[in-house]
Amino acid sequence: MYLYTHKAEIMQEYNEDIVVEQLQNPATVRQAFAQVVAQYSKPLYWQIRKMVLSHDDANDLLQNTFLKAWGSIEYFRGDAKLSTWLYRIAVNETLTFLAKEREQRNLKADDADNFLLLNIESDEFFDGDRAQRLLQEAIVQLPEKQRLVFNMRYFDEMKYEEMSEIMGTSVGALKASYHHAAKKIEEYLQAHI
Amino acid sequence: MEKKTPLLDEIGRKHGMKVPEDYFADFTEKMVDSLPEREIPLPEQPTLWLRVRPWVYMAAMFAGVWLMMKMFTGIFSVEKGETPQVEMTASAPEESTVEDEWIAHYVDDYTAYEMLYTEGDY
Repeated sequence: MYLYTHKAEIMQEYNEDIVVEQLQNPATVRQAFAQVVAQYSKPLYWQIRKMVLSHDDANDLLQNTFLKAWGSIEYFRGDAKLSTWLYRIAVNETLTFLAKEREQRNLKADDADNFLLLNIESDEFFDGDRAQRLLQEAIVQLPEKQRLVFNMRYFDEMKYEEMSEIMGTSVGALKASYHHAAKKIEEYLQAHI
Repeated sequence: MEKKTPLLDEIGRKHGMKVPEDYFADFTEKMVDSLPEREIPLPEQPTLWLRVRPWVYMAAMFAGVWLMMKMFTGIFSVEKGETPQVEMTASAPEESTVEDEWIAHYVDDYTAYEMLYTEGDY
C-alpha cells in the first residue's frame, strides 16, 4: 500500500491547469489527485450531505466518489471542468444510494424521502434549530432532482450554467425547477411553522 | 440571485449540519492513502501511417483535382476544333419539291384542275 506522507504536497497552492496536466502523467498522477481530493472534498461533501443528511452516509459516498474518479482518471481529458466531472460522479453516487434506500423501503421515486429525517434526528452532527430542522423537512418533501437543484442554488449559490453542465438539464428548466421548489418549501413552512 | 420567500429569508442559508473536528484535513490524507495502486497507460505513440496519413490524403486530393482538370481540358480542346468535325450535310429542299409534295398530298383533282385553269396561260 502506498502511503502518502507528504502533507506539504497536498497543501501546495492549487492550480487547476497544472493539476489537470499532471493527472495525465503517470509519474505525477497520484500527487495531482491528492491535490484534487484536498480541493474538492469539502464542496462535494456538503453537496452529498445535504442530500442524504447523515454524516456517515455522506462520508461513505464521498469516498466512493473519489474512488470512482481515481478508477477512471485516464478518461478525464480536460474537456469538461474537473469540478463538473467530480460533481457528476458525486451526484450519480448520491442518487444511486437514495434509489437503493427507497427500494429497500418499497418507496416510489417521487415519494418524499421522509426516512432521511430519521438521519437528522439521530445524527450527532446536526445541531440546527427548529426552523432549520423544519426547512430540511420541507426540502425532503421535494422530488430528489428538485431537491438537488434547490440545494445547489439556495445553499451553495451555484450558477445555473454550472448546474446545467453537471445535471445535463437546460438552464431554463433549472430556473423553473428552483422556482417551483422554493414555492413548495414556502407553502410547507407556512403550514407547519 | 432570486428573491427569497419571506420564511426562507427568515431561516437563512445555514443548514445546521456540521462535521467532526478536522474532518476534511483527515479525510484527504486517509483518502489518498487508501487509493489503490493502478497503472496509468501511457498515451499511445502514433504509428508512421497515422503520422503521414493526412499528407497522403492531401496528395491524393490534389492528384484527383489534377486528373479532373486534365480530363475537362481535353474535352474543351476537342470542342474548340482540334479534332475533325463531322461534316453536317443538311440541305434545304428546293421550293418546287415542297410545292409538289404539298400538291400531291393536299390538293385534290378538282382543285388541281381549277388551279390549272385559273393560274395557267391556257
